[in-house]
Amino acid sequence: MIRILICFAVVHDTENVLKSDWENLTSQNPGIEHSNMIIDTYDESALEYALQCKEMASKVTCPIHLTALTIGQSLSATIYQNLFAVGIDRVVLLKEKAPVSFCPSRISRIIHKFTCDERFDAIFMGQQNSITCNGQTGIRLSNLLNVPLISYVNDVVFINNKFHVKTKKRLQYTRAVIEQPAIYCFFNAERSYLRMATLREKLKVQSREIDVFDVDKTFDQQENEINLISLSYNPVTRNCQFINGQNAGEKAQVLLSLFMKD
Amino acid sequence: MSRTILVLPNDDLENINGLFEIIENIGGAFDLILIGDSGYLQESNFKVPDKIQSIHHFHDLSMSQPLGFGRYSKSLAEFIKQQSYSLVISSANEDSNVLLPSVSTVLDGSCMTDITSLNEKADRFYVTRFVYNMNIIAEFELCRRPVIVSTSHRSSTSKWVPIKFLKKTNHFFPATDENWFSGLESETITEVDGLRNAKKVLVAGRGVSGKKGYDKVAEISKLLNAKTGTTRPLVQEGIAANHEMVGSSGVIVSPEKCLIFGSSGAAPFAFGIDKSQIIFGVNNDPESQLFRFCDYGIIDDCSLIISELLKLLQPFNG
Repeated sequence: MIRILICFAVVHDTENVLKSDWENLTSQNPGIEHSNMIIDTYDESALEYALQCKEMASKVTCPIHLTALTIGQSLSATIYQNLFAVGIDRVVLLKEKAPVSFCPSRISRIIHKFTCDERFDAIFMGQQNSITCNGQTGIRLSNLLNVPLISYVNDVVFINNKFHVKTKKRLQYTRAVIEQPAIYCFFNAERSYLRMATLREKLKVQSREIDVFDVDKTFDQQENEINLISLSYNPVTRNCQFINGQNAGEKAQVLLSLFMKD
Repeated sequence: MSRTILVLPNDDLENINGLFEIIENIGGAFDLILIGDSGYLQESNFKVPDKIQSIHHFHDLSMSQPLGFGRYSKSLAEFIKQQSYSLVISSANEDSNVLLPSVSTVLDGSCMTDITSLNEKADRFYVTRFVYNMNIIAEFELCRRPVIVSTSHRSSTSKWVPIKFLKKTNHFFPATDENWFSGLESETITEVDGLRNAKKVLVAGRGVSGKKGYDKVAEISKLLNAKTGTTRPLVQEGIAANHEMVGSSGVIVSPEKCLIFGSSGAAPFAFGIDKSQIIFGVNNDPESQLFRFCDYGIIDDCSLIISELLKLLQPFNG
């Protein structure tokens, strides 16, 4: 059996946060607690590709087992029931009371400890988190585990018991067959949505529970390599001048003349 | 304290001059580490600003490292440790943003990529960078040494800043067998290049009403001799190709004129168009975030404006 670990973060959905909400932030808190919590978009790609690999493997003789792992104080039932419903075999919460944002070194050490206790053939994760934008967890984990890191993963398929990977960097796609356990960091992947579960699939898994483990307290005692000092709103630099007109035709005419002007 | 600038194989002169500009505001002398053998790096003498005191050139006979930086990070980490560099600065790009954290892990230092500013106060390093989907600017203290950062600051000049010549000290990366992958193939993406360097860009967002709307925007682009880009929702709906996506995780464009139809103006998208000289936006919501990034805006139904533009451009068709 091939075992894949998928690391995911649960983050604020910033798409629906209003400008006025951002402007109310305090120096250490963005003040968007009211916004929905979602799986980070980069990690959604990692989860979706893991599910696709599992489906490909089910057609041959080598089954794939999927473990989805997150770190935080809690995990909502809506999120984990959906993960079970779409085909994730096991969901693990590493319970950590201390804030986990902006601590890539600590996060990678916590995941490293978990992976040392269990054997995985591949680790999938988003290359970065849309909130902290660090993009360091996968890289640090690769060094700690001493396994190769494949960054900018755009597509993965599972053929003949091997992962065939496609990466996209600058003006180049690169394809290769991966021969050893590795970490796959997804960035701007071709399939960036996690599939939706049907009602029937959700009902089937509604009694399933996640595995919860407390994070070793020694991780909190170590000094962070990065300290957050303050947060401030990103100001806008352009002053928009609106094009007016009696109808769309008039506005389009002004727009076109401005656009074509040298 | 020793400091160094790291120049990577894919850096261009705007990157290097940008780094030279950054160090003007930071105390101390710097070394310069060049990696790779491409183009301008082959010169035996190198023109540098006064603050640069020595140059180390790491040659590599097989530069293609599309899948990993393992051996570079270990060799560089060893060299940085040997030279006791307390600060390492590189330009931010797809290579450095993977290589630098990797080097930092080996050295147990502090690393931050894509920083927008760097300050040194009382022997402490402070940096700023965008967070929360680029809506917020955060200030951090980088506590451990060495401090390793990449910056997206680019100089406006693509010519050398000629101050003095220095001779380089040559080093070589050790050759290693990469046996963890097989069947390596590469393919150049030509379409992205066209969009990235286009002088005029039209962007179709979610508000263009599906495939028909997107096709109409592409038709207008053709008539205006512009390139067509798109936003994430249209790629996710399968309407547009992945390589046409404009934004922080797609193509960053810098045209003279950029016209955007029906985008909400989410911060990651705005990052991809912000280098445009003049930005035009069309959205039916006067409160749309899009207008924060525009020089000219139209509050109206996108489909109507698109149809009117097509009518106006019909005489030029064919």
